[in-house]
Amino acid sequence: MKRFKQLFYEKRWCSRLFFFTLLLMVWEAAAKLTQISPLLLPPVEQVAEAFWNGMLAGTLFLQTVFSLGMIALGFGISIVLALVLGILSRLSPFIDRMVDTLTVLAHPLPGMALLPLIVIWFGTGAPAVTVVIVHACLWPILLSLQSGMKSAPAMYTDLGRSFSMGRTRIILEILLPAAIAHLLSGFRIGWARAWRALISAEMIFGAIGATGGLGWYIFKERAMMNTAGLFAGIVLVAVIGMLVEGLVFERLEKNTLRKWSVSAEEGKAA
Amino acid sequence: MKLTADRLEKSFDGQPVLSGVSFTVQGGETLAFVGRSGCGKTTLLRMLAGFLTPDSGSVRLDGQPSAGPNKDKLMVFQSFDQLFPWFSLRGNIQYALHKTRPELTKAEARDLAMQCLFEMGLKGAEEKYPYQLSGGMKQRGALARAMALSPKALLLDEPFSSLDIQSRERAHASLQTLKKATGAAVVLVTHDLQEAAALATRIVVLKAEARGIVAEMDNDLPDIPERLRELLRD
Repeated sequence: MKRFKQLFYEKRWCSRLFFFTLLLMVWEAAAKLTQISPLLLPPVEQVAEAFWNGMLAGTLFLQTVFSLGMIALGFGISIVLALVLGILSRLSPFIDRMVDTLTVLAHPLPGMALLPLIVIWFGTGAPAVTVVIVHACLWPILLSLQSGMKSAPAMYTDLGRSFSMGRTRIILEILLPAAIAHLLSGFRIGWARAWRALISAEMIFGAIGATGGLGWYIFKERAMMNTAGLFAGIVLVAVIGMLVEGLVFERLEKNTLRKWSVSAEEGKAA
Repeated sequence: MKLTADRLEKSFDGQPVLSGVSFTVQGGETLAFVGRSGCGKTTLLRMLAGFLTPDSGSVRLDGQPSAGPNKDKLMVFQSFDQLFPWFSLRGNIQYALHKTRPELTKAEARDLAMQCLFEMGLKGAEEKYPYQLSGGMKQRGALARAMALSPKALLLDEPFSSLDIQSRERAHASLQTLKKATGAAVVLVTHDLQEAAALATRIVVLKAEARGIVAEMDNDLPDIPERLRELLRD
C-alpha cells in the first residue's frame, strides 16, 4: 500500500491509470446497475469488444495510423511555421507587425468557418484536412513562442550582446531555450486543437484516403447506431492523448523545465 | 587597462538624467558610484556597458572608443537570475567562453571554468543548476563567469544588495580575488555606503538634482560613510 501511495504521487502514469480504471468501473456500474439503454451507454465490455473487433479487422488500426499521420504532418508543419514566423518577427519589426496582424485576424477564426473556402481551394482530401489542422495549431504555438521570448529577462539579451553574439544567435541560443515553458504550453494546446480539427474535418468531409481516420470511424459507427463502436473510437482518441502527454510532452518537460526549474522541484516536494 | 567616460549625457523623454559625466578608472582600481534611487547610477553603467547609447559623449577602453557591448566590459547585474537556467554553473561559464574565446578547446574551457569556480569558492557546485544555488552562490557564479572572460572593465550593478551579511562578505572576498586575477578596472554602483567604503579605491557621489557627479574622493579618508551620508543629505 505504501509503495502504491508512493508511486501514485511520484509517477503521473500511475495516478492516471488509477483514475482511468476508476472511471471505467463507474461507467460499467452505471451501465449495468441502471436501466440506461445500451444504445445510450453501452457497458465497458461491449466497447472493448467493438475495439477488439475493429483492431482484428485491421480497419481501426489503419484508421488510427492514418489519423496519427495526419496529425503529425499538420502539427509538424505548424511547429516549423511557428518557429520561422516567431524568429522572423523578432528579427524585423516590420515582419513582427505583419505577423501580429495575421495572428489577430486568423487566430479567432474557427477552422469550420474556413471549410467552404478550404474545400474550394484544396478539395476534400488530405491536403484540405492538413490545412485545417495547421490552422488549428499554428496560432497557439506561435503566440506561446512569441510570449515566451518576450518574457525572457532583458538581461539575457544584454549578456548575449556582451558575448558578441548576433541577433539571430541570441534568438536561437538564448531566447528559444528561455521560451521553452511557454512553447510546451503552446504544443499542448496545439495538439488538442489538432485532434479537434481532424475529427471535425473528417466528420464533415467523410472518408479521406483509402480508409479514412478516427473521425470517419466515429462518424460511421454513429450512423450505424453502433454506440459501442462510437465509444471505442472516442476512448481511443482520449487514450492516445494520454499516451502522447506521457511519452512526448512530459518527457520533453522532464528533459528541460524540470531539470532546471525550481518550481518543478517545489511541486515534487509538495 | 583603463576605462574612460567623457562628458556622457543622457535624457529620457526630454528629461535630462545625466549630464557631463566624466571620469577614468585604471586597471586594478575600483570606482564606486553612490547615490539615491533615480540619480542615474544604472543608466550610467548601462552606457558604459554599451547597452544604452549616450545622447553625447563617449566611452573609451584603453583610449579606444568602445560604443557597443563586448566581452571586454562585462556587466554583473543585481538580479540573481543572470545565469542561464538551462546550463549548470560550469555550463554557464563554458558557454560564455565558447562564445567569446572560440580558440579554446572544450577541455581547456572546462578546466578554466572549474578553476574560476574554485577561485570563487564554488567547488562542489559546478554541476548544479542555478535554481539549486543560493543567491550568494549565484552572484559568485556570475563573478566566476566574469573571471573566466577576463574583461578589461567590470561593471557591477549592485550585485550584492540583496544578499545577507555573510553571503555579502564572501562575495566581497570573491570580487577582490577576481580583481587581483584579471587586473580589471572595476566600476561599482551601490546605494550601500559601507559597501562602497569596503570595496572602492575612489568614491563618486551622484545626485539627481545635479544630473551628475557632485563629489569625488579617495577612499583613504577617515569616516568615509559619514562624509558620504552628509553629501547625500538634501
